[in-house]
Amino acid sequence: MSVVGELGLSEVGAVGSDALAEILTRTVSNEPVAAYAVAEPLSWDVLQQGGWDMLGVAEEDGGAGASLRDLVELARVWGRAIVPAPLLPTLMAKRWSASARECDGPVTFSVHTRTTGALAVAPFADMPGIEVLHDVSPGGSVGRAVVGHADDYAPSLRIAEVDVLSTWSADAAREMRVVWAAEATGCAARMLDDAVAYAKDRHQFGQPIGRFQAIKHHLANAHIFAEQAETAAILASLEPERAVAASRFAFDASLRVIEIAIQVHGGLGFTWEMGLHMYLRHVGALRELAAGLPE
Amino acid sequence: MSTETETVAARRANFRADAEKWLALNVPDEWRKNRGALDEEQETRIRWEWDRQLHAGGFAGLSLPVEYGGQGLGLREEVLFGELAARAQAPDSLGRIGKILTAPLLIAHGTEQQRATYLPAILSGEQVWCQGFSEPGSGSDLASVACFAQKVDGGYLVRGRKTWTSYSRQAERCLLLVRTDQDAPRYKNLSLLLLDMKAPGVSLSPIRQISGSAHFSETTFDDVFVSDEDRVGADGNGWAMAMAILSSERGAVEAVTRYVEIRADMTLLRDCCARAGEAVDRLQDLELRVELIRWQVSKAVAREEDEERMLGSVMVLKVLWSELWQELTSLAAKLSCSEHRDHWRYQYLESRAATIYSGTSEIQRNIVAERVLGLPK
Ligand SMILES: Cc1cc2nc3c(=O)[nH]c(=O)nc-3n(C[C@H](O)[C@H](O)[C@H](O)COP(=O)(O)OP(=O)(O)OC[C@H]3O[C@@H](n4cnc5c(N)ncnc54)[C@H](O)[C@@H]3O)c2cc1C
Repeated sequence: MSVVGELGLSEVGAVGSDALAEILTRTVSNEPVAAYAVAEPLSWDVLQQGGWDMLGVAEEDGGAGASLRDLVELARVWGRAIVPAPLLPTLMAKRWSASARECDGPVTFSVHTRTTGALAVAPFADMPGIEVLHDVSPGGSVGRAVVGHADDYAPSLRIAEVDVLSTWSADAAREMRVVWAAEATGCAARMLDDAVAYAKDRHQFGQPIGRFQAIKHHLANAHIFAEQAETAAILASLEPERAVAASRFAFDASLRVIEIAIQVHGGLGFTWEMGLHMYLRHVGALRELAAGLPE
Repeated sequence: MSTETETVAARRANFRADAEKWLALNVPDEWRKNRGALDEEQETRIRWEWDRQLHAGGFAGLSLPVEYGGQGLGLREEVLFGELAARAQAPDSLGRIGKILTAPLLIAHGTEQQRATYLPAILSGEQVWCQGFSEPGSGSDLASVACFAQKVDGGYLVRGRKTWTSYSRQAERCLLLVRTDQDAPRYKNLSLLLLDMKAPGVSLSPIRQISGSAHFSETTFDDVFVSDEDRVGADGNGWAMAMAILSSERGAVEAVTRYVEIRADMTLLRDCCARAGEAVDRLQDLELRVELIRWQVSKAVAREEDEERMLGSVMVLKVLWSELWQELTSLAAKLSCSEHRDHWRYQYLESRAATIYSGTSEIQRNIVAERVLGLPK
């Protein structure tokens, strides 16, 4: 449960993120992430009809007026489930551009890539009907892009090469970086919970593995990393001049949490079906996307 | 001096030069140049062929006795060859379980017949082996295995399930740890069998790993017959056999083969970083620690005669190489090296397993604490 007022969290952020958590739980809680990450468990229509894409838009522009701090909370909730749907990019595009707000369907944008030969990559670029915001700033316009090779490393982000490199205002780039970092910390929080639950359940040598001090310390460390990562994401949203460093920290600490979660799961953690790798891939890919934003 | 020891002495003297020369001529270009871009099938093919090349060239089973097709040299030569192979960017052997685990086991504990039957085929690269130890309910707690081999006339009928069985698809034989007594106390109720993977009743279902490939599988045994001749050690003595296997698995020869792989990644990482001018300080540290693995192995081998000191040196190897490899791939996954991005993503995912297989890092540290340092259990 998110708490109104906590480090500047507003009602919109608190209520919104709790409601989103409920939708996501209802949508995917009974399904393994390895299955739904490569499917389409949540249709765009549901998100759009709920007005979720307008949450970060200023009230005078017809949105709910969520602050960046609020969006951190929302992105953390999103990161817990890594449902493959373009909510966060669309929400950010609409926050920044009037022409994005005119689209009913999802909107994305692109960042610089280190893949040789490609100009740029964009999350969810290969979704039917998605628009691409060419200039992520108040005056930016949307259009289509030619979609090239799809990168299957992180299925839950559906990143693909595009022939347009979006330009970014400094503030838009900063905010996007923070939101992606916050999403990563949500992934970490979820992986920590799963690992703790597993440590209580899995028995070896006639006892739950969570009774071994080595496992306790791993999980305590994971908790320390996850806490720090969350703090870093909040800090990044509130202290713009530290946003880059704090986001970078949040990505790296989140990855550490997921690595520990895999270790605690033993051989099972190394299986595709168990799906922990989907989170590892998701955070790794988010970190790459963020690295492609102008600093 | 007999002619055999003379030949061995001569080989020792020229070993480095001979091995360097042979490696320069034989390491496949396809591996050296495109390693990062090979798919699974290509990789398996090259590794398998490499086993045959090693045998033809006289470099298979360096530390195994000549009478069983080995080279009659020592651990020192194994280690030296590993170092030279790393420098030459040689592939890793596909028959590693047979060579590193089965062969030393049979030499120490096998029967004459078992040695004569299996060692030549293992060393020539013909016969790939797998290791059937872990079960869904028994991983770190290996002594609790439940897969049961019932005593019948002339042998056993094996029934049960193993999991995470690597190389099971290529393997002809399996080093199988089973329970053979439902009443005997823990550690006294197990036996070690050499099971024919092509026998009726063996079925595999591949398990997909986080990197996307399916290098291991769940292996089910439905009344598979294994004859008494294929049991290593006495009935009920399986735990001691398993311990012998595990000490090879976590030992010096194994570590050298890992060094070969890690060295190759280190070299690739340096190339990547040199191009981008990145991470210079971290690289120097990693580079040193990769070479420290090699020296740690040499040190352990040099202490072969002094069991206590050797143990202290050898017991840290598994943790050292596995965690170093993870650190290396984590760094690589962060860099802006575009050309090898797919390789680094793959290695980053693959390296997650290194602290889990062959005894998890936690179990290894328990062993260091209890067996090396003598801390209370
Ligand atoms: C890629 C790969 C290949 C493999 N290949 C083979 C193979 O060919 N043949 C085979 O038999 N097996 C194989 N294994 C299985 C491997 O040996 C087991 O995964 C390993 O022993 C751990 O067992 P587990 O997975 O059941 O984890 P668990 O034993 O359930 O461990 C879960 C976690 O608890 C920790 N833990 C358990 N006990 C303790 C303790 N006493 N103190 C502190 N921490 C503890 C572990 O370290 C781990 O972090 C492979 C595994 C992998 C990942």
